[in-house]
Amino acid sequence: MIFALLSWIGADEIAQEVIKEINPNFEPWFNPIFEPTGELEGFLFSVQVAIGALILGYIIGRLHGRP
Amino acid sequence: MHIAEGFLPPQWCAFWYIFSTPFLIYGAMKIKSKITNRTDKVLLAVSIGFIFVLSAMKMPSVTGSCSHPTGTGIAVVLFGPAITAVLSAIVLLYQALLLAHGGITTLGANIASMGIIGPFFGWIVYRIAKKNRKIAVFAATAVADVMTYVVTSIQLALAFPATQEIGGIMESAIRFLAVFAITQIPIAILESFLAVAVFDQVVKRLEAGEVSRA
Repeated sequence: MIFALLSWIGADEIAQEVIKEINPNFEPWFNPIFEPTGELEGFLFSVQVAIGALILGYIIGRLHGRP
Repeated sequence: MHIAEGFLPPQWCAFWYIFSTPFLIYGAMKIKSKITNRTDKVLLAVSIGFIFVLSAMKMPSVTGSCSHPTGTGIAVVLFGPAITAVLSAIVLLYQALLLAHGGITTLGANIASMGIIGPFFGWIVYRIAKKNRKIAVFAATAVADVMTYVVTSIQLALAFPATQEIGGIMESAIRFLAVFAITQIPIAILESFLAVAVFDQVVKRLEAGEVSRA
C-alpha cells in the first residue's frame, strides 16, 4: 500500500486494493457496461471539463460584457 | 474517488439508492418551483459548470496518489444540499456511463456521499460562518469536499468491516480514510480557492446586476 501511495495512481484504485486486503474473497459483482480505452477516457474527461468550462466562460464573458 | 462499479455488495447498493432517491425527488421539485427568475437560472448554470469542471480534474496530491475535487461547494452555498444532489447526480451519471468512473450499481452511494451528506456538512459550515462570506464559501467548499471522502470511507467500511463487530467497521473506516483523507486535504484547499474566485467573479456580479436592474 505504501508503494501504491507513491505511484500517482488514483486513490480509488488504492481503495480497491484495501478492499481486497480486508476481504480477499470479494469479487466485483457487476462490470461497467462501457469502459473507454485510455485515450478515449482522456478525451471524454476533457469533454466533461469542456462542458463545464463553456458554461462558466460564457457566463463570465456575458457579465463582463455588460455595460 | 467514487466507489467503483460492482464494488459494493448488492444490499448496500440498494440501501444507498433508497437513501438518495427522496433527496433527488425533493431537489428536482425545488428546482422546478424555486428556480424561476433569470439570475437564479444563471446561478444554477454556474453551479453545475463548476461541478463539471472540478470533478473531472484528476490532480496529483502531495501524498503521491491522484484524486479529484468534488466541486459541490458553490452549489450547496447557493442552493442547499437537495438541489446539489440533483446536480451531482447528473455529473455522476455522466462519469458512470461514459468514463467507467463510479458506476450504475454504486450510483446511489456516490450520490449520497458527493451530492448529499458531504455538501450537507459544507452547508452547515456556511450557515455558521455566513457573516464573512468569503471565508464561509472557502470553508464550506473544503468541508463539503473532505466530508464527501469521509462518507465514502464509512460507506466502504460498512460494506467491508475488518471483523464482524462494531470495532471492525471502525478499523476499516480508518484504513479507507488513510487512503482518501490525506490525498484529499490539499485538493480540498485548492478547490476552495477556486470556488472563492468564481464566487467573487460571477455570483457577486450577478447579484449586483440583479439589484441594479430592479
